[in-house]
Amino acid sequence: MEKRLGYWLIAPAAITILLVAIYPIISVYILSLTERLLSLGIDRFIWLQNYQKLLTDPRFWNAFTNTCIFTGVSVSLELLLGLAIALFINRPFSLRGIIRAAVLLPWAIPTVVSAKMWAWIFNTDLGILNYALQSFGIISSNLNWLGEPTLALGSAIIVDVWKTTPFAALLLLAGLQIIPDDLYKAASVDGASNWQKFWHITLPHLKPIMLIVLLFRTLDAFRIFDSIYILTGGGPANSTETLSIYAYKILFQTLDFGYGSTIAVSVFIFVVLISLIYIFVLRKQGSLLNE
Amino acid sequence: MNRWVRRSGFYLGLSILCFWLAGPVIWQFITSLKSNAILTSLPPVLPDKIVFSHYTNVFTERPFARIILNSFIVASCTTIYCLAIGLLAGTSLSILKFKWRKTFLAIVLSVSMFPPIATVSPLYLIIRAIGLRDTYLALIFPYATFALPLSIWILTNFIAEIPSELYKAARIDGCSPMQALFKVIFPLAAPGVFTCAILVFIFAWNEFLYALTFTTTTNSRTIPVAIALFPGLHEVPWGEIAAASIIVTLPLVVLVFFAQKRIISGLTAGSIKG
Amino acid sequence: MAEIKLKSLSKKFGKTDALHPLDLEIRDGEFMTILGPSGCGKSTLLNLLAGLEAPTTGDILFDGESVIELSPKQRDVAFVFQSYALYPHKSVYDNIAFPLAVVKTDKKEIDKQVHQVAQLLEIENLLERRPKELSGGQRQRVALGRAIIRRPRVFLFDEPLSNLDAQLRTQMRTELKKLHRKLKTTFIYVTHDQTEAMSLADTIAILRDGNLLQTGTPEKIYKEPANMFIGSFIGNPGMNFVNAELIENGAKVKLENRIFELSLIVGKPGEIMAGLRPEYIQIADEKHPGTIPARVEVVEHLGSEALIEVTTRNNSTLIIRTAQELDLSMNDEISLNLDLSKASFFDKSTGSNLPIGE
Repeated sequence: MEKRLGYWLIAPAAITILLVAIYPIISVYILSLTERLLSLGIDRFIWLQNYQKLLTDPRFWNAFTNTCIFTGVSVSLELLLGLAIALFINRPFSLRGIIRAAVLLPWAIPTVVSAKMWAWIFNTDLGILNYALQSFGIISSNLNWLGEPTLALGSAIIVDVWKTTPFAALLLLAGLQIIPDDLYKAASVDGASNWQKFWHITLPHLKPIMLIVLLFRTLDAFRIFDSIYILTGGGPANSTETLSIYAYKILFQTLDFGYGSTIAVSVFIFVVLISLIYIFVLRKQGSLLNE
Repeated sequence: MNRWVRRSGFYLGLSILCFWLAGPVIWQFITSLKSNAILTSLPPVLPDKIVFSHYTNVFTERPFARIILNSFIVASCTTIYCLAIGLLAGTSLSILKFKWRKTFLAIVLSVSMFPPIATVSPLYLIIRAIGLRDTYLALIFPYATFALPLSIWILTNFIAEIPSELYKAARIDGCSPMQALFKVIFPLAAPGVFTCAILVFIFAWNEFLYALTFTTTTNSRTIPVAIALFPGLHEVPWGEIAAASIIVTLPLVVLVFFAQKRIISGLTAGSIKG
Repeated sequence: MAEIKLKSLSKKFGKTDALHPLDLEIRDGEFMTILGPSGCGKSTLLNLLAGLEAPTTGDILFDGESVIELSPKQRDVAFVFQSYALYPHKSVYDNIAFPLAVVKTDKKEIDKQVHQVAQLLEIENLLERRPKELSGGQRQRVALGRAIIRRPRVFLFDEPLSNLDAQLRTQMRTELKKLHRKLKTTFIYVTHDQTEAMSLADTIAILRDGNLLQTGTPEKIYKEPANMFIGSFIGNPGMNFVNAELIENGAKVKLENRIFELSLIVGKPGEIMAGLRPEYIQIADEKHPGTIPARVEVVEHLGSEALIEVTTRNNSTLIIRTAQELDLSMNDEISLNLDLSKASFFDKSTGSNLPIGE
């Protein structure tokens, strides 16, 4: 009786996942093997030609490089800043509740809103950032934060770091709080310095949760779309164009569903590879912990 | 003395942290209260007169009320739908000892890692083919790709904490399996459902890519898309964007303030335990 | 009220046998304890009886009728869990009322019965509280109340006292016994604690590795354990085992270099094991032929009695229970009187009790 009920209860979820996730992900692979131009009504099977095109497409490799730089830099900054914040607020003080709410604020705000907010701050002529930097004498003339190819990607990274560091900080804080206090007491008795305590107790205990934060953040950063779409739309001169932005443009501006899907599939493949690497490392970590 | 220095150092650090976290939002708030004349004048200072025209404008000159309603309906329906079926699935996985539990959870976890860009083109073609474009359903179902795995994951973990003896006891006390779930298990799962509902609502409220692709008019357009596509005749309407941003952020701020513990427990669920 | 029969009942989980086919009869109104170490299959047996799990083979009869196809609801059994399994979101009143509320009983009737049960268990003042506001003993009573209110045919108990502290456990034990006398219903009580089993049960069934080893009254199981495992498991401390040899067609037994005459023949000549309860060994006042010399290792004073661990010349360790006032210390040489008429004898290879024949 319970067994049959078990199947019935899981059926709605299973069917939904099948329809909105599994079917599309299979379907996007098939699309990537076709030439499909919605505006011209062309729809034919061309096997791997799109992938051939992909490998020799300089714009694809540019987008790939941008995505990697964006992911690498923003995720490392988020982890370091997140760890710093977590260590900083992991102590009892009276305003803790308010601080925690403040840390959650950037996380809860829609990415679109945060991007618009920063776009206004970065505004060349009217933005407060240029004004403040000029007032302090750091720059002599206004910088075009979002319009200058050398600056735009960095600006996008700042926005992402602002928005997602809180998530990392909160997970790391939760990780810090489950480290048994007795370990620190024992270390104090043994005469360890604060730095030694951090190095020999905090870091090893935090390692698994750090890896999980890295996994979540890497996957999220690698598929970055919202904030860059708002901030620069991929410009100037494709200097901020990431894989998701490039795929979106080919899909919904050129209406080339075949090639667009191919780029989308490449994002999926990279995401799977990243997950596999992390899972491998986590597994190894797990076995190390067990020993 | 040393202690006093350390304490003030700590509070100085806290102030910098708060400035970094809340500064951009506060600046947006100040912007939203400035008249257009002050907005475009340099230096960007505090307004000498507070103006609410941007707030009234987004409702009178733009269909913002309808857009908020759209966002609210889409986010609520996504939450109700995903939580309802997520609760059933979570129960099946943790109380009824569903046979393929591990396999199912592994699939759920991998689905949660799907990049939305990879599913957007097939979903677009399906939605166009069955004529759902620019409807609420065109958002509610695709939102299940991220909302449902999250719900299943959180609720399965939560329900697994409920002792299975309680289910057995209810069965012995004369309940049918369904009665046992409704009278005992579901009431006990309520805090987990609530936590999960907050997270799913926030994620659905904030979603952008699907909303940008599957909506075309104010009939179903949600807030993030509306803000992204705010049309300005000659220049970017920064004041109105700021006002709109503050309006959509306000409910989230309230939610974060009152439910911070739940949100944090939901975010860390499963990842801490491994 | 029900008489229960289990017919070659077995349960497999995947490939592992949780319970080998077993037959067992439980009389109407009997207090039966199922005793065994953890993992012996006793909880599985209880789940099968309650209908929470389906058996792999066999049949369960309540008053001669098979209940295999019946759901827990239809079997009319009550279950008291080790964790009590009180519904945390309901008050004590609603917890006790729940079995009646599920079958849509009249509100007034429920109220009457809840108060009756609460009175019986002396928990009337707790009815408005939540389970988490109760002590362990109080939770235990509420769990009993929830079981009693339905007047089930059978009560099933799964180690109900193991979460209580020692003092409370003794007290609840007495109360359970009284309750059984009052309700006159069949009780099936699972435990790993032999003291609990001995003090509560009319009949004990001993289970190990999914096999039913012995059933019988506490006295019979104590005096005539079916095998060495039961001998050592029952009793605190358990039975002493000494190497022995059966000689002269089994009429005499040689033990610690002494020869004892037996009134009854217990088996074929050869190596065997003799089992001696700690109270069947006495410390002799002085050495005389027939006593066994031994050296004192440990003396444990328990108040009214003492446990003395000794080593014999043949290097067997024996534990002696004595109420005598003795002033012994380590390495003292003493002599022991053995009362072999109360001893059990076991086959050395199988460990099973040797039948005492004519």
